[in-house]
Amino acid sequence: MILEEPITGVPLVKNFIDGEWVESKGEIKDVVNPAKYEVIAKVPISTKDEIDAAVEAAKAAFPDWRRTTPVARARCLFRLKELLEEHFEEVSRVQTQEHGKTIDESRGETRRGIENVEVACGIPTLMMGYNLEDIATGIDEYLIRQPLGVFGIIGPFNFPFMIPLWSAPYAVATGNCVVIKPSSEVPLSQMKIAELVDEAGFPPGVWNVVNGGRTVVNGMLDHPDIRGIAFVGSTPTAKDVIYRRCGETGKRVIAQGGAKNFMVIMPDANVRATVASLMTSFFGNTGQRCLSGANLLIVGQDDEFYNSFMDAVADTASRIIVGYGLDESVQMGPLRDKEKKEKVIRYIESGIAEGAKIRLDGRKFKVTGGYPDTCFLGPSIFEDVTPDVKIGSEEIFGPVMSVMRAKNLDEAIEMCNANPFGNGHAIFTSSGKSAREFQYRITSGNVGINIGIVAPMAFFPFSGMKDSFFGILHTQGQEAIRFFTESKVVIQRWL
Amino acid sequence: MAKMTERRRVHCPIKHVSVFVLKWDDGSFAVKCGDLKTCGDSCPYLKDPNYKSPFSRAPKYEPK
Repeated sequence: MILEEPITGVPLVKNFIDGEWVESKGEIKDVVNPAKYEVIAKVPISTKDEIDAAVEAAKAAFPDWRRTTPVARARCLFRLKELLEEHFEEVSRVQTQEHGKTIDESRGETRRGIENVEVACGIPTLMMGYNLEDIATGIDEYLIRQPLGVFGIIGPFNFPFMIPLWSAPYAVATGNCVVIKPSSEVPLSQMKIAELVDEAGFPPGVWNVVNGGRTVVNGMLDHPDIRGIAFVGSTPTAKDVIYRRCGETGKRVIAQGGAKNFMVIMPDANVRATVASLMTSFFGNTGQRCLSGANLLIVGQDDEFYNSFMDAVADTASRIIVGYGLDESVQMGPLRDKEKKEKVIRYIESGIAEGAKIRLDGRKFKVTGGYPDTCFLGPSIFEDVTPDVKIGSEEIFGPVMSVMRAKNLDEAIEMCNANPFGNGHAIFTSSGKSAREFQYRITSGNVGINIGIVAPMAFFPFSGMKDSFFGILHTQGQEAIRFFTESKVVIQRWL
Repeated sequence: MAKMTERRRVHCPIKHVSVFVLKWDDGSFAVKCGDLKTCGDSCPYLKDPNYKSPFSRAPKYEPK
């Protein structure tokens, strides 16, 4: 049974600027539901004037908003949390409709997004500074955290609801104003959030949304009144565009990039639990997740263990139900669009050409429900992959598992660390010693121990190392509070 | 007075939150959940305290 679709009638997405819904003068693009391959909405590619107008509105709203007490700002966030709970199912289905992920994945994404709003509700304590009496006789010193002004938030296509919420609630809770640019492929979730923000009682200009592409991004990067950018997307853009330009223009920056995550399997791993974990790690969100497993690295020279483990993995993956995510029985949705599917197919072809053995071919699959197969692929598994071939080293961003072997844990850690990315490596073992060694030596911002998707909760930073992250402070939790505030130190003596 | 016979924590697949299902020896039951107000009658545990989602995120691996 297909759940009811919340988006009907091909609406035109508007920008949300200064508390008003404003029609853009920019070019209009289609928003396509990848499962049904039909247009569900129209989105504008906004102009420079429009991003400038949003920044102006945010700048104008800032003085009053920063003077609004943290308790009062938190009340708006509490109200937003309540509204998100009330619209939980609707916003979840919107994600499935615009992105293609399964409804279960969308509900999980909604929950993770709301949790960031919940954490930001604690702003009266989160934002506290600290002090010390008598740093010298009769002199006290204290630190206060102050907001900076306007921040730009640029979201990717793979988590249209959650990722902007890694930053925006903390930014506004600390007294800043934001301009959010959702991915133009999936703008509807952020539109829905903006509607609820409006209803929650945030003053005009505090929370703005401008749809578009490069013009909007460049407008943010070049705008002197934007004090910082929080970006999640590909590594080339994170590193060569966002991080570099923020450096040139003196902006704070969080730039989260891509990944190539290794799942290291020790011979003492619990096979049943590990196989279950690997299915969602590699094939959840159709592999379009910067914390997805990409390389499965099996440790040890025991061929019997290897063969039986791979039989279990391949058999389980071959039974994944592929289809439209609004059918609750479906376990994997489509790729976000046709071009992304074609890119994954090119990687599959290159894997075959470079000599890897294809154990499960995702190009041969069945779509439950008879939907057009334009954006769908099944899970693929390659064996005999080496770290130097394309499928073993580059980010595919699709449901492809590349299986490698390592003689021992030392070699496995070296192979993981030789990869330029460092986002979410994991080990599966029942040995505390192996797990501790892995945790200690691995160069990865998020580390899993018997966990396949190492997604930090809202009260921990979403970390990242090497080519997966550019910046210092991260999104979520206390680090986001630090990112969105200036530390001011006061030293006082009363005479 | 009825005696409580079961206090079970379950993972709600709809809202992705923890839900507590309480049962008494007279056959009555209650659902304790912070989202009950927003979910209302659509809560599957209110209809059936033993509710289990028929769907799973991935196929189950059963060792031979």
